[in-house]
Formats: sequence, structure tokens, C-alpha cells
Amino acid sequence: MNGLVVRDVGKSFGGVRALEGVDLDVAPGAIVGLMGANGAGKTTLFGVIAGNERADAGTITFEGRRIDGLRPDRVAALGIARTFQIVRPFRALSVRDNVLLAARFGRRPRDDDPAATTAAALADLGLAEQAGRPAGALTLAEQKRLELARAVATGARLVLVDEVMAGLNATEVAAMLDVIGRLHQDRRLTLLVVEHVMQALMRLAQRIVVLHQGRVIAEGEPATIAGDARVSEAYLGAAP
Amino acid sequence: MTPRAGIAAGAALALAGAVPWLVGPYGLTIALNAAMWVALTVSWSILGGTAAYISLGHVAFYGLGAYVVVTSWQVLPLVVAVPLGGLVAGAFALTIGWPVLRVRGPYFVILTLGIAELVKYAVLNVEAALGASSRLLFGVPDNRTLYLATLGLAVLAIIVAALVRRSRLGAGLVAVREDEVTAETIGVPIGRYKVFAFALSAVIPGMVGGLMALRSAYFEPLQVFNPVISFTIVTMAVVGGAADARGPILGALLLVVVSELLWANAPQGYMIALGVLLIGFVVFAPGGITGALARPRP
Repeated sequence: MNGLVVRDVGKSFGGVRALEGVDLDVAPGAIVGLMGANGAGKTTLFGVIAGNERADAGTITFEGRRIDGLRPDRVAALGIARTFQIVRPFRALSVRDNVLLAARFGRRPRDDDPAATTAAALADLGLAEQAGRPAGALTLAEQKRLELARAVATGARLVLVDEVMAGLNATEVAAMLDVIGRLHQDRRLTLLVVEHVMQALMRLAQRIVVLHQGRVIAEGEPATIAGDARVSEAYLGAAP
Repeated sequence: MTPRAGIAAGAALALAGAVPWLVGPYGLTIALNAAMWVALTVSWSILGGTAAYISLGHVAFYGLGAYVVVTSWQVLPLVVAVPLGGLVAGAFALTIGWPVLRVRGPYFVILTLGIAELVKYAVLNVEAALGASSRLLFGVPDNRTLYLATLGLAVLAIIVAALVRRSRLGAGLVAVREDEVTAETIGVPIGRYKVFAFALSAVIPGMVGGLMALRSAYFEPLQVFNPVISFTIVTMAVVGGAADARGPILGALLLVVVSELLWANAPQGYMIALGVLLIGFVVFAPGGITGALARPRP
């Protein structure tokens, strides 16, 4: 089996079950949306896949290789990158150096022309003009794009995109949708996208998985999910 | 390095190498101090300046190197004993590195300080058990030889530190300084890098310690493992600005001059001056002299 396969993954923090029995498949080249209210476990799932957190139960495979329990740098070496919902740029470094670091490390075998990779990623994310500025001086919208530029520059084939549209205005959201769509097409990336902006996710994803209190409660095409009673209940509360 | 900087560095090195023939015994003592502190501070910066892991325990490496040279005195030739001291210091750093480098910030500072004290008392107890509360060495090399050897180590430290900064290792360590979680997420093997840099930053201090034991021709654990040596290294790095490759050299040279002036005129004032400088720079110019000079750029 290719792509990302998550089976029966569980994760608790103290007594709180953040994830329980989570199954998830992301086929190569797909865009899968991950939905759920705050605290549903979306970011925890990203952490577990990327190696920032260790799952208590279950297995995760990527391109046929077990990756659960691997350190983040090992997961990155195998071709998975993530963005952080709460942006984590290397603030004192220039935008270019932020991306260059990702290109110099990231996937193995190592990139033999990280400077070119960096230039391409900056151009794709519309950050070429900002390349010389310290990352800490960027606007939030730019820092979200920097998160993506860095993820892309690692040479990853699967990118976990964590709420890159949160906090952006309508124009910025539209621009970001375009950017992600182009990254997917031009670079043949596989994307797992967490998003609160529902319409954005509906437009972007071919398939949507809904998490609620750490469990998968629905899965299907965007139109099906939009009409699913369990989903609206989880989001809006039970109908009167 | 630009051609002009290369010529300047070459001229400085030629001048430093000619010092024993240019100055008297007192001048040579100061030059030896300068070479020693440059070697120690630049080595320290291999981890401290890149990843900003502030080791307050580097005297342990210095002391272990000294102890190796002293205990192997008249058993091993010095060309073997001094490098062996460096290797022992590096191996010790490698051993404690895995657990110690899991903590960061102030915890790392305190832990390294504690480990250095632990090593000091361990050596003290071993010496007491052997009935050797202090040792005298007879027939040590003269100061001219020691100066040239120490200068060689200072130059080696500068070269190694510069190579690290240019390498992928150095880039990864800077990423660690900026954000450790992000660093490992983009693929930096942070554990391995930190431990390797820590060990690398310990080897030359171990060799310097060996040479300094020969300089004093006397070994007493409380003196060789004196934590003031660690404090001085950190102060020199902070004053010069450890994030810049030139900072540790500048800081070491500056403080050697300051200390000479103070020893001559106000011997009690040295430690006070060290403390005031450290606090002043941390509060008002955390980037040190090099950091403050670089700042005006928008």
C-alpha cells in the first residue's frame, strides 16, 4: 500500500484521550481534508504522524514503511513535512535562511542544490520579495506561507498542512487556496489539510475525514460530509 | 574569507608566532594567557555560539586534560599525553552529552556547572586516596614552547569553529538555537548534532588544560577545576558576542587586557569587573560587541 496509512492510532495526555482508534488513508497525490472542532485531535494526529508526539497505540506507515515511533528528523528524511498551526519561524533568521535550512536537511537523499530549491519554494509561495527580511518581521499571512515554503523545500512528498488559513482575511484565503492548489498540481504533492475555514476545505479536498473527540466520525466526499447529520451535530450541537 | 581578511589573518598569525622573540618574559605571560583564553572561548563557542547551549562546566574538560597530563607525567611523552588529554575530555563530553543535552536553557547551565563540580570533587577524592594532595612536575617545557603550542591550539580552535559554522552541522545548530522543535521537524538530527558539537567543543580545552598544568608545573584539583575558569569563558564569549565567529576571539583578547590592568592596579577588582561586564552585556547588549556593531543595519 502506498501513501499514508494510519491504523487504530491512540494517544492520551494524562487522563485525556486525544486520539482513539483513528484510521486514515491518504492515497498518493490526493488532497484529504481533516475537519473537526477545537480539541478534536487534529493537531495531535499531525504531531503523531510527524513524530513530534509518540502514539500510544496503532501503526502508521508511509510508502510501505512503518513510521510510528520514529523521531521527527527520521520522518522528515522519509519525505513527510508539516506546518505548524501556531507558526514557528526561525525568527532571527532571514526568510531565505529559514527555507534554505529546510532544503539543506529534510528528505534523504539530501538535496544537491539547496539554493535552487530555496529559490523555487520562495517563488512558489510568493515570498521572493521578502527573502532578505527577518522571518519575525513578516505578517501572519506571510508567516503562514513561510511555513508552507519550508515544508515544500524539505523535498517532502506528503505535506501535513495545519490551518494555514486561520486568521487570514477573505482575499488572503482565496490567494492561499490558489497557492495550495498549484503546489499540489505542479509538485505532485500529497496533502493532508486541517482547516477550520469550511468552504476552503470543501473546495480544496477530494475527500474529507471528520474527527470528533479523538475519533473519526465521518468520511467521504465534501458534498456528502456537508450533508452529514453527525457532522453538523458535532459542530453545531444536536438539532432541537 | 576575502583576500584582505586573509592577509590580515596571516599577518596577525605571523605576529603572534613571533611574540616570544619580540617581548620579554612578562609580555610572554600575557601572550600565553591570551592564546589560552582564545583557544578555550572559541572552542566553547562551537556549541555555545551556534546552538546557544551555555555550558558553565567547561572547566571539567580543561581539568581532565590537565589531570591526564599530570598522571602520565614521565610515563607518556608530552606529544602523546596532551592530545590524550583532549581525547579523554572529548570522550567524557560524549558520555555525559546524551543525558545532559536533553535539558536546555537554565537547566543545561546548572547541570553543566554541577557536573564540573562533581568531577572536581571526584578527582579531589581520588588524589586524597592516593595520598597526593598536590603534585609537582619537574623539568616542564619553557614558556616559549608552551606559548607556541597553545597558540597552535588557538589557531586550530578558530579553524575548527569556522568549519563547523560553514557546515551543515553549524546550520543545524543555528536551527536548534532558533527553535528546536522546528529544527527536528525539518529534518535536523538535533540529538546527534548537539552531542557531537559538545564533544568537539571539549577536545581543545582538554589539551589546553594539559599545557597549563605544565605551565604551573604544579597540580592541585581545586585550582585546576576552579569554576571561575568556566565563568571567565562564558563572560568572554558573551562580551565578544558568541553568535559571531569573531566574537569569542575579541572577547577573550579584550578581557585578557582588562584583567592584566586590574591585576596590576586592583587585584580584588578582577572578579567584580567580570561580573559587572557579564551583567552589563547580558542586559544591555546580549549580542555582545559584535552583535551591537552589526545591529545598525536595518
